[in-house]
Amino acid sequence: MSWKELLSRNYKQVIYLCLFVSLAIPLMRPIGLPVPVDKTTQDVYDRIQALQPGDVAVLGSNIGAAIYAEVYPQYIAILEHLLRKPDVKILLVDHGTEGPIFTQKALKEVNAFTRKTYGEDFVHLGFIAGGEAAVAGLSRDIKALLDVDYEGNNLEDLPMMDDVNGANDFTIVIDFTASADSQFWLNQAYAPYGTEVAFGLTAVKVPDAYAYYTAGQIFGIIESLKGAAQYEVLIGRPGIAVKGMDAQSLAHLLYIGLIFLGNVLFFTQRGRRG
Amino acid sequence: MSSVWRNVTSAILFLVSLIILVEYVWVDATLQRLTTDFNNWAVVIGAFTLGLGGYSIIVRHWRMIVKRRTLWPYSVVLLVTLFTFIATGLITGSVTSPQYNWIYSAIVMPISSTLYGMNAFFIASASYRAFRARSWEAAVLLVAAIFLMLKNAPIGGVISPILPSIGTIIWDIAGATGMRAILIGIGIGTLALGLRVIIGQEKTPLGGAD
Repeated sequence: MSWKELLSRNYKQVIYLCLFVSLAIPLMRPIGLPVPVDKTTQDVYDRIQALQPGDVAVLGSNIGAAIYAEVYPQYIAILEHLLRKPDVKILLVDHGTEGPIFTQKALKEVNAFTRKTYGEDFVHLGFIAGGEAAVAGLSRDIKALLDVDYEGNNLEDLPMMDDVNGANDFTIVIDFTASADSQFWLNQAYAPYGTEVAFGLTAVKVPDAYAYYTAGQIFGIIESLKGAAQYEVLIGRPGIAVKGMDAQSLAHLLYIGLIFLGNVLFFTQRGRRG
Repeated sequence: MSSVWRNVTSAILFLVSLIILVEYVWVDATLQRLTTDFNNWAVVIGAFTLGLGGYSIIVRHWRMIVKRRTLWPYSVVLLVTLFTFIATGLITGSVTSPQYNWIYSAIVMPISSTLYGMNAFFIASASYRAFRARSWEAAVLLVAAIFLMLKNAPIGGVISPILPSIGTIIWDIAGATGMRAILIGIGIGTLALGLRVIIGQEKTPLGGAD
């Protein structure tokens, strides 16, 4: 069997193998391509950098296993940045059923429990069902909605929650998701209370959010793994996202090469047929 | 649904919607308290629907197993997984327990991430087979896609700084403008649907059009 026959019969396997190699090699031996920072990411960094002692940052999460690779590195980078800010309060809330698992994992990964005091510097509210109604409830009156946090501690016993009871007390909100629920914060926190909102999103959700960004309704976007890598560079903590960018670069080149090859074959065959 | 019951639910829907709408523009302590209560009820109903969804899945898949319908072994897998999670949560007393987390991290996460990651392979295959410049419109889409791919990966800037800049122009002008038009359309549609629901013209929230 000639190479031509092999390729025409088993082209899928060949393509899969090429993609696997182009993803695996940079992950094992990073090339170290530069990671230029987009304005959307820089804006999030600058806003967090400008937070003052006493400010409250809310991190909303709908991270699940499916979007873990793209969005979780963003969450880690932002959480790490917030923990470095002195006396900035962090309120963590999940509006996806899998969210709490990743929030707890992230808190452990950045050593939040040893670096800050739970209940004074950060609080994890856990999963709240109800979609947009949950976000509306959090924005209106947290204590009317919830009695306890994720671990079952009474909110009245957590000193941080004395001064935090709704969107009027939130300085910024950053929501991490792959679905339309990021817009809940725009509807329920930004529109009625003017709370500043930003998103951490998967690549497919970015076009939706970009319209809000250019209109000035959100102050920034962390765009997929690329945004996470950029944020890791900005905070000087290169991690899995920076490594992943090399793999992504090679994969994109492969896609472009395949598109080019497919079109060359298409026009060649069409030319032969006349 | 009887017409009397439908009228009652329509009236409740209208009243609740009206209170929430008025409260949005008119600050009043009583209205605020009422709206907060309505909102919190919605959260409770949301939590209840999760349980209802779980019950519905169990009943549906149990029937599939009993009647030996096509692909019924998958229903067995689903139910075993579901009850394993429930049992682990109940026995350990928490969804934060190491056992519960282990099941999730060792089984669910790798499977789910793999399924999502497989898209990369399908896209690679599709980019070779399907992404053809069969017309001028397709050619424009294809060229735009290539520039956007080069914008979204550092390699574009390494090849030439002009490539990501072109991608950014396409993104900023064509992409954002088109998406904004779609979002405004969705907004107007949502407004119209909301008004229909409030005035009782939309039958779906009241249990269908029958």
